[in-house]
Amino acid sequence: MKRVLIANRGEIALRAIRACRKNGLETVAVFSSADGNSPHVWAADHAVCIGPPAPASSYLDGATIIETAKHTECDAVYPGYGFLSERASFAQSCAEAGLVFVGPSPESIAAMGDKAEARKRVAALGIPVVPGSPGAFTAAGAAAAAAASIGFPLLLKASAGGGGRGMRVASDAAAFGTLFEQASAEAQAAFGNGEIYLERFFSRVRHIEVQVFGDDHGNYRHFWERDCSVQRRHQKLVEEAPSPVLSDAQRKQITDAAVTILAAMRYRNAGTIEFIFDMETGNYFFIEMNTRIQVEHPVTEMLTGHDLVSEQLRVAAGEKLSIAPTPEVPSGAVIEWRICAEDPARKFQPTPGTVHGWPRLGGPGIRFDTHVYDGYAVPPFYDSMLGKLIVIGEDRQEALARSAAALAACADITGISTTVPFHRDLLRHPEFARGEIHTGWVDEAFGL
Amino acid sequence: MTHDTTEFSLHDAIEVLRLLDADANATLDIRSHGFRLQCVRGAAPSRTGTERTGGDAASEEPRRQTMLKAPAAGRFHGDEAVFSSAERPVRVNTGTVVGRIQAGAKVTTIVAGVEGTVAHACVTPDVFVEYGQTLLVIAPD
Repeated sequence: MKRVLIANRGEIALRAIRACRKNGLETVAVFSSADGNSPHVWAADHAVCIGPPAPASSYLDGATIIETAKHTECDAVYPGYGFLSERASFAQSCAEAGLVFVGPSPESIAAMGDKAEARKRVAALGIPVVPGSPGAFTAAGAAAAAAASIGFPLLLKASAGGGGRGMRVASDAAAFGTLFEQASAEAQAAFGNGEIYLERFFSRVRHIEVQVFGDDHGNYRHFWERDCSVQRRHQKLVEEAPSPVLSDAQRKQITDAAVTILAAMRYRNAGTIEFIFDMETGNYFFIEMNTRIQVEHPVTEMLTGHDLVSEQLRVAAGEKLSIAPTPEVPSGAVIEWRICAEDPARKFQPTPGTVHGWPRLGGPGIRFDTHVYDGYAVPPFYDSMLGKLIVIGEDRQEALARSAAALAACADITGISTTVPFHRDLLRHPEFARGEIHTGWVDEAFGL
Repeated sequence: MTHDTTEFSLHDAIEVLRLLDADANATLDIRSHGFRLQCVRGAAPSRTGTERTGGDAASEEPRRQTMLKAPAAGRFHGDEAVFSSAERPVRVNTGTVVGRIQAGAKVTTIVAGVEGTVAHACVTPDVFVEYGQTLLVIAPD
């Protein structure tokens, strides 16, 4: 591999360009006409405007991206997260065009992207899965019988999706039909696929995910877990590692299960295997696998000291995994705060606009992954995330104290509303400080 | 110049124009530090008109010249009669298909938006074009 097309935008595009440069690879950025002032355009060695602002005509236009990669003599495509990263057809098209897709095989993406199929495969390995429907549905009527047999409350999830899109909780049969239609319409709009599958909903559990990596040489490894239980309406807000609630034995069980899944799939490149963990019983259940790098991958990078994006490039080039987990979970505690252009006082509505007073955060234990600069105009067409503040401390208390200082330095941001005030409120909340939370806690504690 | 802009001297402007004039290409696309300057030989407006990148496929310029811009990125296949014709002037009518842009199986047809004479073909018939890139300058009737 000599030249990589970065098929994404924002902070992950910058992150990928940095990793390419570190590994001696040239980069080609693609951008929509709304992103001409986005730093990934200047940071790359070459940049090509591929379409108008609408994602369907630019960052989701796989045919144009592949044509651009061929024209610019790229030999690989880095998908990042979102957009085309979990489209098996795009990975397949890359392969057919002679381009290396920096990610798993199309077969792995297809198998795990179909949530019902993924649960079936994992259950066959003897790993507990959340009770759910055997397949996905496009109509509420057809799904009603499956809903009744699983029992309420139920979680309705987009079969082709992630990130909380196309997701609803139905507490009883009366609300099921309306919520199904809402979830299906949202899934169709977000992922081009309105299929919904059903899962038993657990309200007081932790979201634990395991960072995994495989290569073409039979190496399958985990890089410990992340706890992503601070969520608002199934959207992650804050992530941390290690999980404050897992015992060593529980951690071993969950990470072993993740590696078993990885090996059974002969999975290549980076992925994340997600579980829910019941704090009362100590039971865990597989929920899904994300066949891509995650937004929150820097949490693992900070904890383990490994560069996961560079490793993605190396493994995609056919090399062996060069990193391995330590026998024990590394010491220290890492917390990531997603800073988004959203107004917490107005139900987290997106707030596009021109950013002023954007901070330059740094210092011991501080990492700030962002594509935003002072004067940057946040376009209304894309995800609202502006940056990720990642903080490491010797323990959770030190990470929280450093976080408080770093978030205080974000107080001067003007021009748009951000999630910083919410994060500062969160930091002051005694239950969060003690780690006594669950996936529904934010909605309850903040009345959202 | 306003206080919000970087100082840009006459000397700098002359140097840019000299470099542009020395360049053999019909178009020059300069990108730096978040700015994009697209220069098209023979298409300069007489006063202060500037070309907006990534906008509509066609836009009116002060000297009544219309820029026909690429509505998609991909391999451009231009009509030989329009883009490589040795015989000028070449006329186009509203709705005349002047080429297509191909990206895999996706094909976008390029249609002249006005009736007039081709003042300048900015690309050769078989090249890769970016979204918003000027393909043709038409002097409307």
